[in-house]
Amino acid sequence: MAYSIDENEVFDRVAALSDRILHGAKPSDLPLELPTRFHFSVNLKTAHSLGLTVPEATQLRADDVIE
Amino acid sequence: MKDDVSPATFARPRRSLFQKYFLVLFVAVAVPLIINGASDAWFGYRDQRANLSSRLRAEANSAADKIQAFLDGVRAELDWTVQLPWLEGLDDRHRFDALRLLRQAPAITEVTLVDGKGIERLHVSRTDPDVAMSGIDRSTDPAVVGARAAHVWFGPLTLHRGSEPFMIIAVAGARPSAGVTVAEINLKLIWDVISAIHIGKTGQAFVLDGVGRLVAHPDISLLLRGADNAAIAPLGALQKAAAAQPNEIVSGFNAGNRPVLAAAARIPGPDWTAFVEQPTAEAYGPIRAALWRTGLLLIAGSAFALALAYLLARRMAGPIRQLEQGAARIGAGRFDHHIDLRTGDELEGLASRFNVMAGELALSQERAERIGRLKRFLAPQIAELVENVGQENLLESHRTEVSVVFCDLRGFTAFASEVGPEEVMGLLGDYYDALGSIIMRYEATLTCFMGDGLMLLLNAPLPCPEPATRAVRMALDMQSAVQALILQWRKRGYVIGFGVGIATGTATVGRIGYEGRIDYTAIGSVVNLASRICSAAGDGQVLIDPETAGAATAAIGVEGLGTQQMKGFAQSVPIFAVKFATGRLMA
Repeated sequence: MAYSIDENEVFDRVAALSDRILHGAKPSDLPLELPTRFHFSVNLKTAHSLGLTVPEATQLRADDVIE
Repeated sequence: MKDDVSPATFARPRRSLFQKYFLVLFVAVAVPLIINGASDAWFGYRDQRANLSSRLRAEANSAADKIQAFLDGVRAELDWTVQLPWLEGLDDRHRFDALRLLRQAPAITEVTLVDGKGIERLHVSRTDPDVAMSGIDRSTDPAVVGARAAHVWFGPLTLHRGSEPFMIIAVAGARPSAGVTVAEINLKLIWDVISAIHIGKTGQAFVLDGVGRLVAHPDISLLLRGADNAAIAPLGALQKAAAAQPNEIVSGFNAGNRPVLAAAARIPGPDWTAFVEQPTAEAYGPIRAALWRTGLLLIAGSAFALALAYLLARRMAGPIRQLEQGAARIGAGRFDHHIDLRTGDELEGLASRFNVMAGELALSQERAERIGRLKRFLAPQIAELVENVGQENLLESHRTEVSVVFCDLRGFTAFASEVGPEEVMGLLGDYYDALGSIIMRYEATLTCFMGDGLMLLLNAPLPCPEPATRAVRMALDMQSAVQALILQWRKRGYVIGFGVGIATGTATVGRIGYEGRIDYTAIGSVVNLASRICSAAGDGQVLIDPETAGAATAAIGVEGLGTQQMKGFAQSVPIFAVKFATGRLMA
């Protein structure tokens, strides 16, 4: 089970901000950007092998479920 | 006669025909061209501007629709959570609804479910632990009140940590018992929508809320700088301008302080305004291109008009200048000049008229010269007569009967040697003035002057009736005229007399002389005789030979003076004196 930021989005923004800095923007002028999208994945296979039961509510929230 | 006749020697006209034609032709071509071009440019500009306005407004409406669609999408998801009433045993269903909501709508960061009584039943967040049955009374929460009143409630823009833009959307169910769902929306997610909107090449869209705060912008950094952001001040100005002219495009500056044209459209739910902006330079690009095109066409057209006007004016003014130069040459006496025009129109006719005129002028001048030649030794009227009759052969040498008249002053040589030249010439002037009019009246031919003496011919070259009588009458008139002068001269103390001798007979008459100086004269013994008789005549006398006397007696009284021996004549010659009308001989 993992809950993390969306790395694609983060690296996308990193690239955009780097571009602006390379184009002459002062880093101090650029505001801090918080992540917007989060990624929640559940590995039912591992849970099963560990003998754990994942509640249905948790499964419902997952973006990725590995069965 | 000058060879090179320049028209410049005449007063030049202030403006040449060429210049006038050139100007008129150029104006005739260029003015309609310029008017056409200018009106094209003006109407083109207006059309383009109207076109631009409608395009930008359509883009603004489309952007507003897209934002609205984004919000509607979120709302539609929220609607699912307010369908079930809060009955016992349905808590799990509500929980599933909330979890599914977070799953379906990425923009929603947290959801609060409130039951029909306004009590918070569930709070689910992406970043915080879930809270169930907190029991907080939210019945006075503006979101709950607003949603209950209008089914949907859009909260104001809030900035988390002064940076991240969020807003609350609350939705109430159809039944009051279904409660209210209050969701917090991360507005950064609108970026996906707003950054996909492109106006022209570099134009973009952005969204402001009712109080001018930035809600969405393709440059997310602008959004995150929060409320006190100087960069978005020009956007506020755009919003004010758009509010003042709701159906017009406005010009102003964008967040990057570049001049832009913008159009606005209202997003009714949250009372936002969607803007589309396009850099002015880019928006007016087609108009500017059209103006350039028109300008270039105008320049090319004007150049063409110039060339055309030049060619036409030269074709029209050239022959006229040729005519002018030809007329100047003819005027300067070159009658052989031929104006060669092959225009095939009235100008060619005029040129041939000029040529004919030049020919006639040449004839006329030749005639005038001939008359001038004749006038030197013929009475003017005779000269005209000879010329008019065209009988120049009258001047040919031939023998004919003539009356020769000689006259001169007595004692003139002695007088001339005593007084100054001015006095001599003055006296001679009076003398010839008196004689000249008489000679002309009698149409006598003056052959030569010899100081104070004259030789006159009658009956040559033009025959006249009774030349002898005519000669005698003339001589008498001359005597009385000169005697009147002599009276004056005597008063001044000059002792001068005047005598006349006349002889009539056959003589050879004709022109003698050399090229450039030709006289008409008579040669023969009659001339010598007349000269001798004149020498013999005393002051106041008119002496004549027997021939003259014989011819003139019918008209004039004569008195024989006996014979005289003349120098150069073998026999002595009888001489007669003419009696004056009074019957007395002048002493």
